[in-house]
Amino acid sequence: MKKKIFSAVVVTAALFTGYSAYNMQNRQELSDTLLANVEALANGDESEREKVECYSSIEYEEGSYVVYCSTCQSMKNHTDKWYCIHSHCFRDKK
Amino acid sequence: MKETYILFITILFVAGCSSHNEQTLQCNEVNYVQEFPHEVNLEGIKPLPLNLVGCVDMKPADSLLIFKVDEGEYFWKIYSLNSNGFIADMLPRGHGDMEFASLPHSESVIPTDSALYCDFCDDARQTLFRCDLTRTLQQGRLALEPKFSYRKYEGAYPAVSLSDTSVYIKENVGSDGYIRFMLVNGERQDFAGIGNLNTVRVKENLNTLSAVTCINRKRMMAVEAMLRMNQINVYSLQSDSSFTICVGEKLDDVNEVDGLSKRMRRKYYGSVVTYDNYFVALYQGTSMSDYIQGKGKSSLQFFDWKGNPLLCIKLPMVATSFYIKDNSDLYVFSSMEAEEALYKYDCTELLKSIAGV
Repeated sequence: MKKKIFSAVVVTAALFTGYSAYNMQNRQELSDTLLANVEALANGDESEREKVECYSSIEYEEGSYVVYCSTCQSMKNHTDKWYCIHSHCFRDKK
Repeated sequence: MKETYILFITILFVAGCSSHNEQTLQCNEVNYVQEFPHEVNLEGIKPLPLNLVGCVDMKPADSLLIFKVDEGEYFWKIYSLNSNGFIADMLPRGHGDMEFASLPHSESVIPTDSALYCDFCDDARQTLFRCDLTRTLQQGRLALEPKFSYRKYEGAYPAVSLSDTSVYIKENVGSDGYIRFMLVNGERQDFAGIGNLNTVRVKENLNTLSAVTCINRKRMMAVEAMLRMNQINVYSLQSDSSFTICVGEKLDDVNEVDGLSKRMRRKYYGSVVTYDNYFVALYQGTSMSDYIQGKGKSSLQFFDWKGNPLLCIKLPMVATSFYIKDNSDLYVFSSMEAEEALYKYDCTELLKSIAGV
């Protein structure tokens, strides 16, 4: 009897793990898609603008690359400062 | 029945754990380096008495050192190694003629018998310029010549002139990866033998795939030392030859590195310089939080052009960039300490161990 209960618990745990992993993947994709749609609607002119992640405080780092919030421009040889959190800005698509 | 259960459970666990796809960035071959044939520790010394306040990086140009200044009236401060003294400020900040809106990048030095040139990219004009350093310093006026417009390749980073007719370009495509190619007489030529360097993409942070790059014109080779991963990618610009050097047992997983939170980021390479017979990469190999606090010690890893390890010099500080002059003097610049500093070591004896390479 104990063996059966143990097996049932293990099977349930395994099923839960598998389902959770599958669900997390789908949730991420759904979330991204929803966000993109909401942003496109909000922007109105979705074909010409893009939303990019940017940082308001940057510093030099050779080889690195970052978008600076105040200009919404890509800065080569720069990275986000350690304490800086990211924001978003909108710019024309290339 | 028991075996069926075990098999069923195993399959479920494997399926549950397989959501993470492992992916490595690599050239045709991978050389794993566990140790260097020669390892040397350098001791702390006093810095040279130079005013380097505000300097963020150093680029060597024969007997000159170009210090880059991110915030200030000028972007370059030029020092002479012959006199160990300041010579001139160059590249004034501004929006006028012969002024620059942002810190230029992709510096590349071209020594000739008659003059010393330095190429660099100006993003505001999207132009690769060639500066005649000799004439500029003699006349006290910037001697510049536009060499190439990368208006079509806005993300060019770096763009390096290889000859009068060819340019090497590494360009970021969107914000998820880089592609490398050459323009020869305006015609694009892709590199066929560089493994998956041009095809790997990331979701979170482009800098997962960012690197410091150095082009050796004489050998027509490119060396890319990765900022966030434990590897150096080396490839030929004129053949299908390419290899990846991994200092460690295993190449980093791109997706895993890309998924790391800012707090967990690591800093690997900070600078790379190529010479005729070898190239040298500045290795940090520490957490980003320690790196920005100036904790830890950098090292210089020497490799021959086949990817074999030659020498490792362990420095007593966190370094930003370096220069080896005439196989004897080692200059190390650090912008990570309390004050920006330049150190000079006599490494003549040390470098003899790799002189025969």
